[in-house]
Amino acid sequence: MKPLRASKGIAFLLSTAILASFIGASSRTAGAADPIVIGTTVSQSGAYADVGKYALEGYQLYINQVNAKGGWLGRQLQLKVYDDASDPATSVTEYQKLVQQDHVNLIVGPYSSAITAAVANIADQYKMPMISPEVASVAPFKRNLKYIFQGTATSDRYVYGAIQIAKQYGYKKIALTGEDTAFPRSIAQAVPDLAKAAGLDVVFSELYPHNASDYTAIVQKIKQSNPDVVLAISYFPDSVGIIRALKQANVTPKELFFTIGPAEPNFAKEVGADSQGVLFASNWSAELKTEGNAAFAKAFKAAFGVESDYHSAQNYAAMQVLGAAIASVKSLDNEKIRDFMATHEVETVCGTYHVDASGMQTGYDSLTDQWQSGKQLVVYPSKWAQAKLITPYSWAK
Amino acid sequence: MHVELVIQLIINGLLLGGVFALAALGLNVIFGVTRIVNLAHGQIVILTALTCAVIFQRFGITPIEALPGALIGGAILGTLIERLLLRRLPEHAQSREWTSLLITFGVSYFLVGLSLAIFSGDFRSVAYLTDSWHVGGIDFPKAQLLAFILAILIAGFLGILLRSTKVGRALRAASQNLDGARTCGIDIGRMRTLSFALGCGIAAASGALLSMVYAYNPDTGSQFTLISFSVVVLGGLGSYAGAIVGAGLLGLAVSFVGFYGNTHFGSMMPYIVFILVLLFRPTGILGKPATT
Repeated sequence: MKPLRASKGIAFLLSTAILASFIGASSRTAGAADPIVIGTTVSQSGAYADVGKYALEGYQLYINQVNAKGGWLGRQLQLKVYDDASDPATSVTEYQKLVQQDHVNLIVGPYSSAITAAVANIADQYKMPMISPEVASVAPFKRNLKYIFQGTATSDRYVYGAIQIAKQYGYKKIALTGEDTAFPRSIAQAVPDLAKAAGLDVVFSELYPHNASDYTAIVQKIKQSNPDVVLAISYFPDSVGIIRALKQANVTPKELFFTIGPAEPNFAKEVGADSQGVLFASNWSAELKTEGNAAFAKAFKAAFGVESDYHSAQNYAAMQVLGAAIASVKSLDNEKIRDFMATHEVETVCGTYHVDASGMQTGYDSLTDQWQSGKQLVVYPSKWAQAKLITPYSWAK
Repeated sequence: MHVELVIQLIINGLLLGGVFALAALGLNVIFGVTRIVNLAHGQIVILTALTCAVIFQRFGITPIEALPGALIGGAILGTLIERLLLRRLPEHAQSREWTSLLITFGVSYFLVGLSLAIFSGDFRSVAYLTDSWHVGGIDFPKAQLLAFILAILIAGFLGILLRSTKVGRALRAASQNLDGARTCGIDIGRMRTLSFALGCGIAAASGALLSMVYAYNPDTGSQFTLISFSVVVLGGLGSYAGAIVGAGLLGLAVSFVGFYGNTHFGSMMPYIVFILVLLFRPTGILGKPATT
């Protein structure tokens, strides 16, 4: 008898739920306004699936919070997301679909510089402003586009701290490597000038292809150049590949810096003790005393059970800018929203949003963090530093 | 100094070859018997590697300790793929390359989705045996050395199994002449299942070892299929010694071209060699012409 009763209970619950959803649906169509639909693509599969997830969570948290407070203009927000499979061409098609078929009210940027570079023109084509929190590359802003806005620190800022630290400690020789794709390449191009200005020499420079299967050859070359600093502009898998190859070849730089890979919270878990002392770029920290930052960090942890990384924070900040624009223009008029984004400053969790005439970010700063005993701590600039830099890098001792 | 460098490049190349060979052996076993190119091969490698990373982090079980479990798990998965999917094809279609290609292609996407659902898109890696032995100025990375030794052991074991045991001979007979083998009383279906179990088991075992060498997420599987396929073609489809030699050559090519040329050319080497072999020696270095 018992199982039967249980299934009856489930059936009752189900029917109530279905009924409730009908009532909900009918009340929506009857009176209350339709939700405001915001369209985006995010890499949920493919090479950027890991970071894409963090980016998406930033959008989601903001939308959930705003919905809980009644939405924008009295309407609930709804995020319409397609998986672009880490592929620029797919993303382009999907944004076209979002605008033409789904008739979304607003659009926001996708993950990664390469994909944003591909979709930037769509924003102009449809005259819909796109704040893009994951495009550190400056290339899309040199095309005279009017509707794309950068929601992250520009790429050259990512390595600024690493080079200043090298200068401060009197290191001379930098070996530069990184993945040969849009975003790492744009950072790599900024390094020689930054190094020269700080009185450092780039003694080795070579990029490797996306999905490289072997790092021993490039690490052998780095070893021959005998650098004080190894600067790798790398994502997660290549950061791990390089760190392993450096260790195995007994290369002992005094400073070891990877731009992006180690920013992911699980880096130390996957790399173990070798993470100790690794430097990396981060555009955000839970310790930043920016407006609403502590509350954001807490809410993120509560919602997703893990600490936010900088990607989530940037995407959250992008939504804050969009929210500020709508609060100011009091409509979904994309033209007015564009004008607001182009000319106004907005306080976000990442700092003060401000763009120049090309849409390039001038307000946000990039931080340099270090893994210390399994924790990511800001070590540069000193204004935000949470800990003293550990030097030299662990196995160079 | 220069001699030392060249020796180091040779060691790096050979050890990388060991990694390639290990990844390729499972693919080769299945092809050798069934003439099926298992396109889900790389996903089985990665699924195992991801599992190893999780159980290492949760329970501290090292991939070496997990190796027997991986072998068995892979064998079960291989049996299921053969019994539940490929076996369902009509017999005349079972040996046709393209029908089975489509099925294993489908399985590969299923496994990517499954891995994403279980493990998410996060990259993982096992931080175990990540350093080197330094002998006379030359570095021997531990995990790669282990993979290299195991690749040779597995290839040797397969060679003995196929040449000197009754089951092995039956397996080979099934691959060479279906009707002839059946006339001799060999259960063809069992041989196919066995080769899938063996091939997927070895793929999984290689995943356990490679979990310490690379960082991977569910989407990196296809890379392993591609590299493995190049190795197998280079060595001669179905030839185990050939696969080892082929992998060694590829490793050396990647190492030397990567050092004296650049990494882009180094990474292209497996595919350049692949095309050259197909053009000039389609049966591979040690392969014999395929018999049907």
